[in-house]
Amino acid sequence: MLELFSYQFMQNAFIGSILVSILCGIIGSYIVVTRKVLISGSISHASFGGIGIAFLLNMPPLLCASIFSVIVAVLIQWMSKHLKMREDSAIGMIWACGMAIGVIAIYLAPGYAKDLGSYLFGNILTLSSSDLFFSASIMILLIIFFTLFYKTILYGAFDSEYMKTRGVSTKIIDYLLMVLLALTIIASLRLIGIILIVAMLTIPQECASIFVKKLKFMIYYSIVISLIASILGLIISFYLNVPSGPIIILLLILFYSILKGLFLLKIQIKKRT
Amino acid sequence: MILEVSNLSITLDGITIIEPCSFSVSENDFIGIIGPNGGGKSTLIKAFLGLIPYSGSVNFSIPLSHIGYLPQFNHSIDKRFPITVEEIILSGIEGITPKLTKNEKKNKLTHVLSTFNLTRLKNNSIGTLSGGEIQKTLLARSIISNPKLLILDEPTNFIDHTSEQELYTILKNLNQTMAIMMISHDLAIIPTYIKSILCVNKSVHFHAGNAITPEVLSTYHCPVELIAHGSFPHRVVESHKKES
Repeated sequence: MLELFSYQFMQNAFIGSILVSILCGIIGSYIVVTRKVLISGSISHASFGGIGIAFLLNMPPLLCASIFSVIVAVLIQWMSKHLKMREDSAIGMIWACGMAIGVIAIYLAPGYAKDLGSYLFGNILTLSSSDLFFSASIMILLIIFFTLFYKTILYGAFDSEYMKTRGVSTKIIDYLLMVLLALTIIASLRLIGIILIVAMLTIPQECASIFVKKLKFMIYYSIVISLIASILGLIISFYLNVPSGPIIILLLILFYSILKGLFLLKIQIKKRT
Repeated sequence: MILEVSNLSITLDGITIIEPCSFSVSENDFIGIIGPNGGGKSTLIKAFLGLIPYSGSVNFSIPLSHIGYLPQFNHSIDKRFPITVEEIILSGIEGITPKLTKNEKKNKLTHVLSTFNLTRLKNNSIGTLSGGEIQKTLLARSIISNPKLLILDEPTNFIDHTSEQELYTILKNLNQTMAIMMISHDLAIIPTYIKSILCVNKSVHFHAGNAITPEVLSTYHCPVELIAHGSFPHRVVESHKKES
């Protein structure tokens, strides 16, 4: 087992999973309680457009995807508020539009699109030190933001209209959270991949919500659950020689099934006694 | 004067919801806002709270944070949200300046929890509460800041008869230190507590008295037949009279 840590790429992968678990644990809890899971799916899929443009213009993919995702996140938030259109329709349009741009850009890009699969499904072999530095920076930003504005985030997520009547506007906070969500998605791309990242933002939080009463505990428990699944997933993917993302997701689904099953069993026992 | 409304009108998507109206609210007023379902009562309140666009002018002599507000309870409240009774109530002191100390917050919380018999539920999550308990929690949130103006949208929804009487007694006591505006359909009960009436049915009429008679309501375009108590209109005043 210890031989795993002798490889530089595995050391990077383990550090990466810790960072991604913290990132997704924090922002994912906000996403789940405000029912913005589809928005995160839309941003992650639309980021494919940024990756495609990067391939076409020979630019750094993560930088390009970051810029593209932030624009998409702000656009979804703006469209749902100002264009008087249904939020899920806005999400669907942006989702498909980003993917379409990505596909066309990659088709037009000269040569073979190297590493494309790693962006879609995650690949631990591709995690570099600069990727880790990027993830760590976003994590620090996210922790500072949640520490400073936790109460406004909590109260606004529960009842934003009421907060407006208290003279506390959550509008800027909401936009900044969307930007942080976009950056979290990009920071997790190498490990989990575009297609599966939405699961990291949802399943650990749903596991935690089975037994928590407060948002902050949902965040803590989600981080722990993500960490266990990520590290176990990395070890399994190393030995089975398969992409890390799908293994981590399947483990999370297994955890959720076990926890939910135990919870339902507890209710049944309570009913009978 | 706490609130001065001049020539306020509300039009949403080209449809007139409230015709131009003017009225004012002074310290210690207790105004009952009545009218049929769909007459614009909640919309009017939301407009002067800044939640809905309007024409005309709304002037408060107090900051927004000195207004307590109980929105109409509906099922859009997410019962799966991970938040406790204590956290919900404490959100009612957000925006207050200068900020309260930890001890001040604790004292205020203890006071409102006992006022609404919520002390034992303090650490419960919203998902474990009944409709009545959620309503009491939201009421506690609306008064924890000791507002100068308390605006309540159907406060007795989901509350049982005994708690309803208790609530009106609490409101009567609170009215000694704050003005209250309350939307209600309980035409048989509220005249005992309110001091004046605002009839809202597209047009808004202020009545400086608490006697709610069919004649008064008819004059103000709020005929009794229209003031629904449930899913369909019925003669509220008459039926309550018969019951009592």
